[in-house]
Amino acid sequence: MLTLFAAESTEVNNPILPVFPEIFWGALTFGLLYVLMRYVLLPPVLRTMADRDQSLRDDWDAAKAAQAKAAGADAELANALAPAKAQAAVLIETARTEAEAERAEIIGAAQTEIDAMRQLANAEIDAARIEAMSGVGPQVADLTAQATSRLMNRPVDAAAAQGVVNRIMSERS
Amino acid sequence: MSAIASAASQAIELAVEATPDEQKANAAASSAGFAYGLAAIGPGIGIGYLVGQAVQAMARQPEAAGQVQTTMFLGIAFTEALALIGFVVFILLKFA
Amino acid sequence: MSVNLFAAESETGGLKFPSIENLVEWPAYLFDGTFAEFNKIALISVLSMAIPTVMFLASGRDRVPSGLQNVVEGSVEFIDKQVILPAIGPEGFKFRPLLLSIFMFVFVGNMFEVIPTFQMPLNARMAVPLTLALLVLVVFVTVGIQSQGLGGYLKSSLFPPGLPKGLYLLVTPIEFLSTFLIRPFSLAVRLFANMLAGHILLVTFGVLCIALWRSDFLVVILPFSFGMLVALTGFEIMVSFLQGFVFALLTAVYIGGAMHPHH
Repeated sequence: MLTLFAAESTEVNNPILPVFPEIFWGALTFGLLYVLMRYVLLPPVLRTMADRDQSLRDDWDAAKAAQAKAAGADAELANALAPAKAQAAVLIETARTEAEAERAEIIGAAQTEIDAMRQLANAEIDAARIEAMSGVGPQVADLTAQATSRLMNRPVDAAAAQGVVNRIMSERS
Repeated sequence: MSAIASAASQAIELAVEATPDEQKANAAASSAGFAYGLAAIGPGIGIGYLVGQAVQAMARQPEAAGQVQTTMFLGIAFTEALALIGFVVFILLKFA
Repeated sequence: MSVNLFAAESETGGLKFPSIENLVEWPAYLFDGTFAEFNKIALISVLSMAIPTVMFLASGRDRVPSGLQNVVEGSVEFIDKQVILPAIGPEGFKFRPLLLSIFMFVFVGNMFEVIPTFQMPLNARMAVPLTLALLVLVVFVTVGIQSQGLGGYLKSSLFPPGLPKGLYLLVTPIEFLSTFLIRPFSLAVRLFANMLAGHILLVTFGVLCIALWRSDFLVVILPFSFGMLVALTGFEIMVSFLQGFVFALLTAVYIGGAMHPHH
């Protein structure tokens, strides 16, 4: 404390000891800053920050509410759509069954037609073969008889040859 | 050569003709350096250890980094005060 | 034989370092010799009060902050989150004006260390740190007495619980010294010595740069000295901020300790 008064004399002060005028000005300015900070400077800043926090919170709440509302509307829409969907499913099922039946009918008719045509063709083929066979038999028998008589140098009975050929052909066919 | 000689003669003059006040000032000046140098050893080790441990703690638990940092600064402030008092003693000795 | 390193400096050939009085003591501008002598330190005090005031008044009040408003609101939030909440807790918000003023005053005052034409930290003089430390002492003792009563505060600060009876003979004087004397003393000395040391460091390298600039051939090491000067300037900006932060934080810790004794 003595140094405070020593500062007023013109002696050399120790450079690290405080001098009174600087304490005076420091205390005065700091006190002023504190008072200003307390009553003038800080409150509006704090109010701005609180307002911002509040409005952010409000916005957040509003966004949450809007989200909840949107979810409700979604559910409502889904509820409204459910009967229509069921009806549509029934319609689709019916249409499919009908289409299935129609197809089966068409396929059945076509099958019968094809079967009839095939039977007709088979009959024709059989008739043609029988006719061919009956036409070919006497000639083959005649040729066979002639060839055999030439080989054996004696006449062959045409009726016997006819019988043998007929037997062989019936065996082969 | 002449500069060295003159410096030496000055030193001899100082040593021979120093009044008690001057002797005291010389002793204070030379011990001032020791005062600061010695005062810096302990806090140097202390701060190094402290910060090392703090870094380890932050590496182990990065989510607690803020807390560790604040505590670290507090610890540094307390430890550093010793070195700073040494510095003040240095100034006091040298310029009192 | 001998090389004259600093030929331009003096004819005896030494680097003349300015005495410490020249570094920290300033002539009066006004009211010389009165109790309100107005010198550079007083001017810096006034500016340390005026700059935060102007910053707060000039900052906008927009919903989306920008520019200066960011700085102002950032500093308020910094004090809230880094100082008050860890050291005191939510009930410490009523000390926000005090802690914010301390932080702003100390930080801006420190920053004059690196502002050209001032180049002198406010707190490299003992006056302001001493004033603030005594103020902090008064504040935390008042808070302790308010929250625990005089007897309760003395009991909790001088008689730490859970010790054998005999030890109190030893502990109580130590606690008294450490709480009511060493706390404000170390608070003031920490700030003061940090800034004085930084100031002397910057002056040392500045003087060295000038001397090297005028020397004959040692000018080749000037870049290193100058680089050091630049790096130390950055370091001192960091120290300025850190000392303001630490001063506010310690104030908050002391207030918090006085509020909750078993913390």
